[in-house]
Amino acid sequence: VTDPTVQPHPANTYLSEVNTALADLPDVERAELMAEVKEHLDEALRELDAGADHQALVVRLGTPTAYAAELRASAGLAPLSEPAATSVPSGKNESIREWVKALAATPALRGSLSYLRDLRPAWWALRGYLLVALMLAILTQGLQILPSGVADIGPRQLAHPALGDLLHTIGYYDLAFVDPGPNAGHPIYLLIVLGAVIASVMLGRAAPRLPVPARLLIGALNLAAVFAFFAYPTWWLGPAFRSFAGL
Amino acid sequence: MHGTVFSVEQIGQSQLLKGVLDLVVLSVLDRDDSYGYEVVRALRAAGLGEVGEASVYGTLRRLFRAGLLTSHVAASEEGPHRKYYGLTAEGRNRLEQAQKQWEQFRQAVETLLPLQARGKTK
Repeated sequence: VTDPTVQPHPANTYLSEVNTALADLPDVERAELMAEVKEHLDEALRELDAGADHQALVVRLGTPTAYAAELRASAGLAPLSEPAATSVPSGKNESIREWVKALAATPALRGSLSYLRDLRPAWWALRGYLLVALMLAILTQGLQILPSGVADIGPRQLAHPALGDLLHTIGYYDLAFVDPGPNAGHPIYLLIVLGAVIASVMLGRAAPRLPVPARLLIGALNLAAVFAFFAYPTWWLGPAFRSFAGL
Repeated sequence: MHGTVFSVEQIGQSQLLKGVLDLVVLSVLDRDDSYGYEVVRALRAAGLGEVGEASVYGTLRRLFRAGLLTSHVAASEEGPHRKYYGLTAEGRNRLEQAQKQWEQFRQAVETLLPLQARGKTK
């Protein structure tokens, strides 16, 4: 039986509020619990009417906060509001840690953290794009980065002329999005970017279920993307940046 | 704290269940590996519908972390992944212990119950 109306998950609000109420837990623990909660809500929604929404879930399972409290209690975890009773503040480090903990528990910060969490899919997509730029940058100019690299970047100053020609052919130097040129939007380049973006988003979605080594690898990819962002701006901004910077 | 009212309310099923939820969940998994919602349904089918669903998931999580349960993820026909739990050898031992404890507890309570009720349960 296939569902004809594939909509955005109606449990998203509920999920993110439960997630907020678990925000103080270690990432791994929270991810595992959230995977269970997601599964639970999916099953509960399937039992409810087709048009079931957030409110129907609240009626069925209680408020997200109450749900999270029940989950924590039965899982043998400390309640959210309870301060760490076992750790006695004994020095400067300890009091700083307490202070950070208290800060992290304030509703405002928890709210903005969950807001950032909602933005993660956008980062996954951007990450795919940045990693393609990084790959192309390293393949052509090696690890030479700003500032001395800026002036040298151009199709004719590449370390590997053949690769430069290839990139030119697939339109990399005439990024369709910023400066349509004769080769702009070449299918091969667009396919590479599209593939990388899709793979990156899938990776992001699967991350909570992956084993620790795989998650470390994803962390490395995140760092690489951030590195690409700062070290190779001309590569992800394309020709528009170059003309803006007068290069 | 002043003004506290000590009320003798009816003891809800969920309150009675708290102490035996581990035993009940282990028993369900002893029959067959199950995913969280299957356990919820099994409790409901047995007449224990008042148990909080979140409690079932939390209990599974705690028993798993204590090494009493195995788990594996399998895709369902409807699509979403389901995490199936089963008993480890340690889980089976725990179930046996808990069952004995429960029997002792039940007998002890029954000896205190009014005769009529005792007759009914036998």
